Amino acid sequence: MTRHHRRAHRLIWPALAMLIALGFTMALALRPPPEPPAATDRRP
Amino acid sequence: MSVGYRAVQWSRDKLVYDGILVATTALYILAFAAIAWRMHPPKNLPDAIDVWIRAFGTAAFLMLSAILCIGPLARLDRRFLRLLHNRRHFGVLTFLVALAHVVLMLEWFRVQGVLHTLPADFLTFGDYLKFIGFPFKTLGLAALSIMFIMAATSHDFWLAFLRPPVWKALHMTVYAAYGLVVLHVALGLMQYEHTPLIPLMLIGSLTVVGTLHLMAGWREWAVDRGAPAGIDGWIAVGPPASIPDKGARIVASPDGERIAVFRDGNEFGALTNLCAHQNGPIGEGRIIDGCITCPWHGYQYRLADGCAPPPFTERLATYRLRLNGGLLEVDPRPLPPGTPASIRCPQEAL
Repeated sequence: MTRHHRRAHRLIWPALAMLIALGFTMALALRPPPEPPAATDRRP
Repeated sequence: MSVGYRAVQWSRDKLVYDGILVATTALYILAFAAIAWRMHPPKNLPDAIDVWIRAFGTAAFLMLSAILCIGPLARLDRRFLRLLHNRRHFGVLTFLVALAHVVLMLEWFRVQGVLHTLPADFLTFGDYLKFIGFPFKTLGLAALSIMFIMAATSHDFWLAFLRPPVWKALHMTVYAAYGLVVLHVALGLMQYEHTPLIPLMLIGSLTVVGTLHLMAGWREWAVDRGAPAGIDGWIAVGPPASIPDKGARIVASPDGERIAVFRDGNEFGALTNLCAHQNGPIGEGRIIDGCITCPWHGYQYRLADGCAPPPFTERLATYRLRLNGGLLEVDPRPLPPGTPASIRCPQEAL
């Protein structure tokens, strides 16, 4: 890996990690409460 | 390149690696389906297909997580280098498992006669402005597209055609694919399945991948800070005896590329740390059969001039070395690839 690749890696990687962690946390915090079993829509 | 290295042919090691890979993947998918089937017996065909969709989907995600761990693991512990050698096969298999996940999803829609409604999942543009309700299938499709490009360009032909820096940059998009897959699961399945297993799988993967990268990154950063150069620009490497025989010490100038200073008995040679094949860290390799051998794929170069032994034609940039006051020093200005530059140290200096 060249020095430029490592530098790009060090700039991009933390930003990407923060975005993913933020997206996951928000998705977990904002997800709707569970519905009654009869009304569960199992759509892939 | 090493005379013993076969780029295309299937060696025994590759067959064993691929055999274990395919068997483990098949075992995981079958075990997942069997457990899911037992815990929630499917009531109809779509339910049964759904079990397989999840089995292949989670397999692809865990495989992608494992692929991202191989690089830092190999950097932290040389025993993991064996996993690095055939990482491309791992990537291609991951793409195929992810593709099977998509095909099963299409089948799920088809058996219910609602395949025509699928485009609406991608083309309802108002949903792209939402966070919860974002078209998560688009995220999965984008990740699959990246994985397809990587699988399609994984052969050495594309490596030679695109050149190592471009090829490496292209294959670093695997991190974007990973991020897209995490969000595909978090905004998709995790929104309507309230089992704690899904968040646990995502948190576990993010923690392991993140921690390993931080550990490896910290070690690399320490090397990249570089050694201070003397008045004439030369960098101290250390006493000749401090370099292990048949091994190397890696040094870096504050703004330059890394340099691998190898020792073979009383002969010392400095080369760029970038292998001509995939820019692998050649300084982490060893001298085998008289040639410097890259730890990643076995490409070989002569210590004296950085040239691959005939009939191979790869050449590496070399650097001038000198012995100054009992210390080995290197000039960080590279010589043209293939320039003889090794020196011999007197016995009393070793």
